[in-house]
Amino acid sequence: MRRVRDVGRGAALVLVAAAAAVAAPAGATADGCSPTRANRPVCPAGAPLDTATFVDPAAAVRAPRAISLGARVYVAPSATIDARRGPVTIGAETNVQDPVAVVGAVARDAEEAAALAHAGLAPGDGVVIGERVIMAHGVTVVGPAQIGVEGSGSPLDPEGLQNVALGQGSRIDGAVIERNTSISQFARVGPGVRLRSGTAVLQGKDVTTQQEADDPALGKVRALVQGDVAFNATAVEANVRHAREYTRLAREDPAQVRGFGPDPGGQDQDPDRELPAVRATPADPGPLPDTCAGGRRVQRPRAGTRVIGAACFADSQRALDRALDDRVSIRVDEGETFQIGTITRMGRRTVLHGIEGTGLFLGDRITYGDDVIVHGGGRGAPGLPDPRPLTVIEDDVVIGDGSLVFRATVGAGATIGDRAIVLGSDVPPGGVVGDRQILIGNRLFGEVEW
Amino acid sequence: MVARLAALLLAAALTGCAAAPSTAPGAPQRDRPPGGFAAVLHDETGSRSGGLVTWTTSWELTWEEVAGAASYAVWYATPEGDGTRAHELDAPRLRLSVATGTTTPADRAVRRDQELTVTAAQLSVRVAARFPDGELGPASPWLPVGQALP
Repeated sequence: MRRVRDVGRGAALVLVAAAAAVAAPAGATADGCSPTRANRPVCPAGAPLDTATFVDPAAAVRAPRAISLGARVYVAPSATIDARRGPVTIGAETNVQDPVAVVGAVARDAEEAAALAHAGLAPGDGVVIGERVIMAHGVTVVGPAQIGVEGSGSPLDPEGLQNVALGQGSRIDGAVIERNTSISQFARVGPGVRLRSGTAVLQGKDVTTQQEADDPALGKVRALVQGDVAFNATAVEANVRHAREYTRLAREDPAQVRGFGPDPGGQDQDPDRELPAVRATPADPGPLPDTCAGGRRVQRPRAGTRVIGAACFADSQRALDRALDDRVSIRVDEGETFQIGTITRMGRRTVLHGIEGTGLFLGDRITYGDDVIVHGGGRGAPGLPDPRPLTVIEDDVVIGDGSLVFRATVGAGATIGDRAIVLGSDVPPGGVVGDRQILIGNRLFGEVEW
Repeated sequence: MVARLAALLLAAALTGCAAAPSTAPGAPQRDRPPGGFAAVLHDETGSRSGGLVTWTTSWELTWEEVAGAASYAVWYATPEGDGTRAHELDAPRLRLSVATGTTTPADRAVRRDQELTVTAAQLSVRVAARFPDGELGPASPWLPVGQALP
């Protein structure tokens, strides 16, 4: 299997980008903003509210002068944009969620370098990401790569929005992803492959050849559907709103967008700003209360961990400081309260996110590995079949590194292996989901292929 | 030209109906959200060489007309947040393709269920009546896209 290798491992490696000075991004536009210290968290610093790009202070930005960000981009906490070895351009209304990593260039071996050339990618290109691209939680993009720049319109997209969605945990590695495409959770598109407009990659698939990218009969891709187009357009809108509302919050008081702080509020479903609460009383996993009962509200701008909005922790602040890694991101920025029981450990770059009506209920003594994604999802009206409004993880569960729990329930004492997907499913108490297994709708769909 | 015509036809399909808008009969019911929802799945299949089938599943949502409504506004929501932009429909009907594939006949049902589960986790919709003066009535509850109702 082709692998990206570390710099300096041997003569067979071809360093495709200089490690030193990196030129301005190839795809930079005149109105692009470099997120230098003066241009963070709002980029550019003096931008009007409706065009401002927001870079969360907990995001990591390397070589900012080699980075260009378009208008209304949202860069979430724990995201990384690294342009030290190749420039990075990100177009307007694109979002870089937590903990996305965009790396301008890495060393490639000769085989990979040839494949890149075949796809029209030059080493100095770095990463060029077009407008209206969704980079969901845990996405990795490794350059040179191009996303949402070339390609054609789709009859499924009569408004011509031409969005691209990179799903949770997916990886784009030296590939060209055209407009009007979708990459499902934990899929990968490898060096030299071009994913053409109108195509979607299935969950966990590793697309390593052009034939696999072009022929649905090979089992790795399918055609785009109207549901994809509606999803993509809506997810872009939501994150454009984040860019504006977090900018508003930062301008009122920069301390509000650091550490433990309030959500932006101001939305129909979430009009009020709320703070996280510690030592809150755990509730049963029924309808969630809209307050953190008994908890002490905290605002701690100096905390390394980013906790936004009404996260209700059963732990004390002291216990949280021990259990949470600095690059954890817990975002309750669209309404619903999260109930978070005692945490045994929450590893690096783990993210908890959900919106109104899809809150999280997390039990006691849970171990979250590194790079875990726990996400609420799906809304169902009461009285309709399988409304499944909550994501529930019961006590004493262990979640392995790099796994995704999405709109699912996990019973007490269960174990989720490393890099597994649990989506729309119910894992029974004591159950085990193996490493890299894909569980969707209570059925196994093979393994993540890479 | 052909491509443009195809795009227009598909645009009409996306927005539910190609007919001219008309106002639903009766005194305007401005205080009532749309109700009487039903959702069905439509399956189309075709054959392909090598013993494979191509298939597409569409989800069609219908609801009772709201008296006095000139059209209906539709909003989507995803796990990343709600859409703010309303899509306008002339009739109380929304149809979207939600799953597709090229598989063996035996694998079709499994893959279809997988895709419908993912869609329901990722996409919800709600609707409201729009009256001739442009005013919107109350919105319906959120409904999971891709699930048959009731």
